[in-house]
Amino acid sequence: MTSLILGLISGNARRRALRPAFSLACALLFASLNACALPSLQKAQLKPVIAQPVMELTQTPFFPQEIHQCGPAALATVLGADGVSIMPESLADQVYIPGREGSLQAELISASRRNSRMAVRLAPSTETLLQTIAEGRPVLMLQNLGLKSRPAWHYAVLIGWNGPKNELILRSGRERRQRLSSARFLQTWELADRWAVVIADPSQPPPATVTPADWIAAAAPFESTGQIEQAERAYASATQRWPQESLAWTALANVRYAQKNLEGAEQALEAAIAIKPEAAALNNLAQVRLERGCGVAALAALDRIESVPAALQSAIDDTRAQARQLGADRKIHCSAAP
Amino acid sequence: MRKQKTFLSGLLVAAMLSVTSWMPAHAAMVTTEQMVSVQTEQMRDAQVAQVQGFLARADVKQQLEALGVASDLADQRVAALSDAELQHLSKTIGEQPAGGDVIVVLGVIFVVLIVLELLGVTHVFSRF
Repeated sequence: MTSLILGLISGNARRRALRPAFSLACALLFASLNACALPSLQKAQLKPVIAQPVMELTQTPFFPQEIHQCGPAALATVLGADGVSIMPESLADQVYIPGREGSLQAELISASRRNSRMAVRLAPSTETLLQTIAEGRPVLMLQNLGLKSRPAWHYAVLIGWNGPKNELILRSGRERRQRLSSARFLQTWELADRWAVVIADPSQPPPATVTPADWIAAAAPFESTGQIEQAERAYASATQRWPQESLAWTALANVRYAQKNLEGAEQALEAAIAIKPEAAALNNLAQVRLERGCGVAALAALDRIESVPAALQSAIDDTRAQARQLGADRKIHCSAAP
Repeated sequence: MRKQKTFLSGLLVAAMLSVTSWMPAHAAMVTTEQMVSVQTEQMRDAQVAQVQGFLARADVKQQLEALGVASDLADQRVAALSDAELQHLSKTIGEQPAGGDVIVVLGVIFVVLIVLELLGVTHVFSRF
């Protein structure tokens, strides 16, 4: 672009009289371009990011999008790459909003869950995206192809890169193999808040590039949407992958509790507390012990709470009151240590 | 007892809205969705979300229908959203990015070049 404009300036020497007007037009054009240019573009070099110079997930399916339907097409692409065979037309019923002529991020995420997968948010760095692809998983991302003030939202699937050419390769719209310069890619992604997700099977080991918190956050909605077994699989995968992550154990305990597996819940909570004696986990352990008929053991768990977060105060008071009411251990299994 | 009261009122709201995928919240258990938002302030929000999710579900369904989604599909779609997601959407469904078209920004620049040409400022096109 810059060279084109410079070319224009030198090629119009004979129109000297109009030069001021032309300079103004150029200045305005530059100003409008700069409005969407970002500081990070200067560092948009792919080469140092990852050891592999060229990578492309050529086996990723491709569904050329129908008008306005990049959401269903992109989602079908990433679901297909993870073994869920579904056509964009079926997904349109799950995510397309005619009145908005598009699809919302929240619904792409919920539709993934409807198809037995999780859409896990990725950290907002190019490195994370490329490492995810290097692991063999295409990345679903949001782009803003317009300006900040006049956005044109678009979903595409990142499937590879070419380091020497400084290009990224995407399945996008009706293009099976779109090549974008890393600067343009970063610009469109940055304007979409660097939103990117990876599709994962809850019962499989989590992708190497996701954090425990993002994995658990992606799995938690399974609980309130009636897919409790999927949530349990995801949390179990999390405890295997991150055995030192107390939240994974606490989450696993919660789904076991919801399925009336009190013994399993107690074991998972004990594992959580062994890592980190957090107030929420200790409260839940006390509640489980109460329901197993162990008043003393429940109080013992509550007594280990060092500081009570304000948001948990009422829940903890409630549990303590119940534990006092129960008073004694009525069962033999209650002899467990706090 | 507090726990029973919460359970009962939750049941009432659920019955009123005829929500299908609803599970009783135990007052004394801290849920995972609450714990995921670690900060206390957010945790309170998550608790509120759980209660308001029931109301948001009806609201989001109505908004989806207003935007042209068929009623039976809208039912299935809100059922697939968690309480926190519903509450978030009910407030922002009109502002959320809705990914749709591939628009070529270069078109804007092309228009600027044509205008410059027509004004006689440049002769980019007549040269070829």
